[in-house]
Amino acid sequence: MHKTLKRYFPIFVLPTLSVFAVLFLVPFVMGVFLSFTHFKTVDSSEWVGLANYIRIFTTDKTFMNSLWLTVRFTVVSVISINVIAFSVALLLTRGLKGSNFFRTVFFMPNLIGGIVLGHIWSLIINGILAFFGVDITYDPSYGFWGLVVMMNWQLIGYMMIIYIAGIQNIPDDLSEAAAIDGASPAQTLFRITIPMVMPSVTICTFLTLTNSFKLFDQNLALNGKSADTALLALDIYKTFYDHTGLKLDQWHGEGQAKAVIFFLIVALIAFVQLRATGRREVEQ
Amino acid sequence: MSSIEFRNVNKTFDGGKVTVIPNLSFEIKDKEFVVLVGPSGCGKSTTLRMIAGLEEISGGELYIDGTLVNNVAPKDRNIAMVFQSYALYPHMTVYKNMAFALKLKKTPKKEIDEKVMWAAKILDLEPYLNRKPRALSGGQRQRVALGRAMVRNPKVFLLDEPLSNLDAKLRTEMRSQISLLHKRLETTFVYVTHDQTEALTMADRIVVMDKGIIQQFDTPEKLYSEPANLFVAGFIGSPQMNFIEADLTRRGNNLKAVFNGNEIIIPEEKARKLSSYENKSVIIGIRPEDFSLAKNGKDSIEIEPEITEMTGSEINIYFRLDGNRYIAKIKSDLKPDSLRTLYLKPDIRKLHFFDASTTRAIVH
Amino acid sequence: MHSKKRNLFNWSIYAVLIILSAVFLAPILIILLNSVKGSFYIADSPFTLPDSETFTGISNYIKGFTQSDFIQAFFNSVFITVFSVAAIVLLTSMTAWYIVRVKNIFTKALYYLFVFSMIVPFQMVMYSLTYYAFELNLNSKPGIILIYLGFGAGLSVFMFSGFIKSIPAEIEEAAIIDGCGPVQTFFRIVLPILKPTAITVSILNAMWIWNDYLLPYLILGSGNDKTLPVAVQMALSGGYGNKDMGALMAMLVLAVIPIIIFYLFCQKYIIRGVIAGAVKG
Repeated sequence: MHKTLKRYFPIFVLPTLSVFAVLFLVPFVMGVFLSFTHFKTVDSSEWVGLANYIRIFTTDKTFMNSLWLTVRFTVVSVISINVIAFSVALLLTRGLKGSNFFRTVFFMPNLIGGIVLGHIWSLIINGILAFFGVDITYDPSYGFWGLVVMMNWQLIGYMMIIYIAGIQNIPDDLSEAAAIDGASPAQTLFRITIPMVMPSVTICTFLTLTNSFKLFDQNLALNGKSADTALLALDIYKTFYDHTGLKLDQWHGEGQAKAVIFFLIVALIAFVQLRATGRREVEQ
Repeated sequence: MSSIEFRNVNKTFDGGKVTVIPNLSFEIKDKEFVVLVGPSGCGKSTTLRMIAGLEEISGGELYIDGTLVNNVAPKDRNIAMVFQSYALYPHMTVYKNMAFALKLKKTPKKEIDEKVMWAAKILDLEPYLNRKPRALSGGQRQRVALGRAMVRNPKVFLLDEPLSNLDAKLRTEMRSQISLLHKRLETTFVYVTHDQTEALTMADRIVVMDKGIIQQFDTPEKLYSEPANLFVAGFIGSPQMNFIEADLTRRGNNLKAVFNGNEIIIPEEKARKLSSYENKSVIIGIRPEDFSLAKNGKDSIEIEPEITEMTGSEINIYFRLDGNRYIAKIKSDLKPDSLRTLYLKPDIRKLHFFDASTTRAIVH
Repeated sequence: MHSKKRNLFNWSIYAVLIILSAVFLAPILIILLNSVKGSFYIADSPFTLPDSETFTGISNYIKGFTQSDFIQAFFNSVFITVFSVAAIVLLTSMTAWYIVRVKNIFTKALYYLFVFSMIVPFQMVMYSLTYYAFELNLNSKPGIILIYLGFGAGLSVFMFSGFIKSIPAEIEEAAIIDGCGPVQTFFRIVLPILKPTAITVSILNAMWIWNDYLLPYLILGSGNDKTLPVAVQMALSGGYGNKDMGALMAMLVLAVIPIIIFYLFCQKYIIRGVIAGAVKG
């Protein structure tokens, strides 16, 4: 069977592979290469070694600022989203009537695209702040917290679904045994429920982490006009496209170097996550 | 003309590193029901799959109906296969499952319908034609798999442990159904199983395999009464044949087998063939069912039963000699007291003698 | 006594849930309500209900439609999403099947390459991809479909591979014996069995592509080919002050409605997809 199928490579694999190679692999490799150059366009590059990387960490402050901002944002979002999502999941797995309705309502925001989402919240937040005579650009922390609230709104429903599935997968006999043993609700929660849904916790942590870290669309829509509230992805974008004139080649090179570091951090997170899940799954 | 012939076929995996079947040569006659039997990993399924064309032949030649088929695609070999897991197409109805191969050959609709209905009738599948596999029981699925094969009118039916996933009662029922089918269709059947009872009840001839090598290829009766070596003797027959090592000594006119302080006189016809083994040791095999109870120690073995099991019409007696465990199967209307000493008399016509070093049979 | 306590407990849970639902639905309701108010009143008092003075009916919607080439953008998005998803599902399922069934070093490397691509953030390839897209004349609607295939192949191949591994090889062997060649085996046997995964992959890709902003903006720009998110962004981040708030509100509502309808129809599959995606993750 393999012998015959092997010959069919051009039909089964070649289309996907060629598009993948030309439109992903090549740009990726070029991206890595260009991060070590100054370039106005892709075919006019000049090798500068580590100059871009050095600039990022020394003279150009925007990168470190957005990195720090992104880290803070991610940490706050991951914690708030997961705690709330898990709590809501607990409430919705008690077999109360109408749980499905609530589930539908909470999940819906997840489908709304980043740009639309950002603008909806932009209007609402500016509307609220208008009472105080300011808008979202007044203080960076307004932009920050606005982003956090919006992120929660979007992701709580998604994580809640995963937690609900995890909680529902706990065998009934465990909680029954606990009840017979005389465990209080709080004890059941911490000694049984939470340990048993650890796989879901790992997955949700991973998803919220990567989503928050890589956030772009919503950031652009909500904070586009503010100065200091660009997360990493937006900062990279600005480095590329918000500059004109001289030194464009320098900005491009720097943008690409930022992108490479961005990629490395995301890859590191994924790698650590994979290790952590792998180990814990075995223990389960 | 033979239906299937293996000529010096060898099969390797991993680019030649692992040899599963070193050198296989045998012929299956047209319309025969041949069973390939042996322990797990003996190469029986691989052999079957080579006939099907699902495994490549690393060396040698395979002929089906006189044609060399080493490089012929499965669909051109005119064979049909029934898998252990039935392998029914889950998204198609029973009817469509059975009609599929014909549809691929662009058979006219009317003919397809005739053939499917014919098979469905024989296999009692008419009420289920519009159901999907997941709505069927194990036995029903098995019948659909058979029907799917039948409809194609193949020259050879290949069956790979088709009854292994059924419960014991269903298995017995399906065994006879498959045998009946074979008689009715008058086509060659090649059947793989690890269950020697299935082999003995269904086969015209049986291929006993171990580690990729044919141990014996014979009728069930011959395999039972004249096993070619220790492996076949121990594999065929349940409970397993008893083996004991004995020394052959001559006392006067008689050749005697001596073990454990017991002596048995070997009958003249067998003694002739054993003459070269005088004063050496051989392995004697005797089946549990070839013992009878004796009143005294003449020509018998004195034993103390460890466990006795009553199985309806018979009693299984477990005893030890020299630390080894043996079984005797006795008719139960003779009720022994389970703790007392017994005298077991082996039927000396049914003694089997094996060479201790080559494990081959000397005389039966 | 115990049941009374339980009842009280349940009611307080309901209270919490209802409050939360209100908070969750509020943003959409606010936009909805504001979309039928006159522009002036939106800026002035965004959180009041419309009354006879402020209510303007659907005039905002009409303005929204005409002002931003909304309809054009909507159909662009539909075209791109539908054909990209179709291309991705068809081609990646084929590739995944090949990779799983033909086991050699090459296919193994290919598999890891695809998995690797799932981690790479868009910004990494943003600039060079745009450059090559323009070089190869792919800056059109059909062109962006290819780009989505290239960028989305990773996740889809990964998900299909996972599921294909659980299809018993015997079913495909039966198909071979019945007379199928590889192409027939794939389309008549494997693909129908893959249906649930295909639906999940379709939904995940559709959600991503429909809502995508940056790639269509860079490749298709803000002209006639622009997609819905781009249109929304263009309209809502214009200069200060002279925005037509009413029209903008209407636009947001119109952008959200198709999604909500899609969701209410496909809810079961979407949620299944979320859980499936999480398990693989």
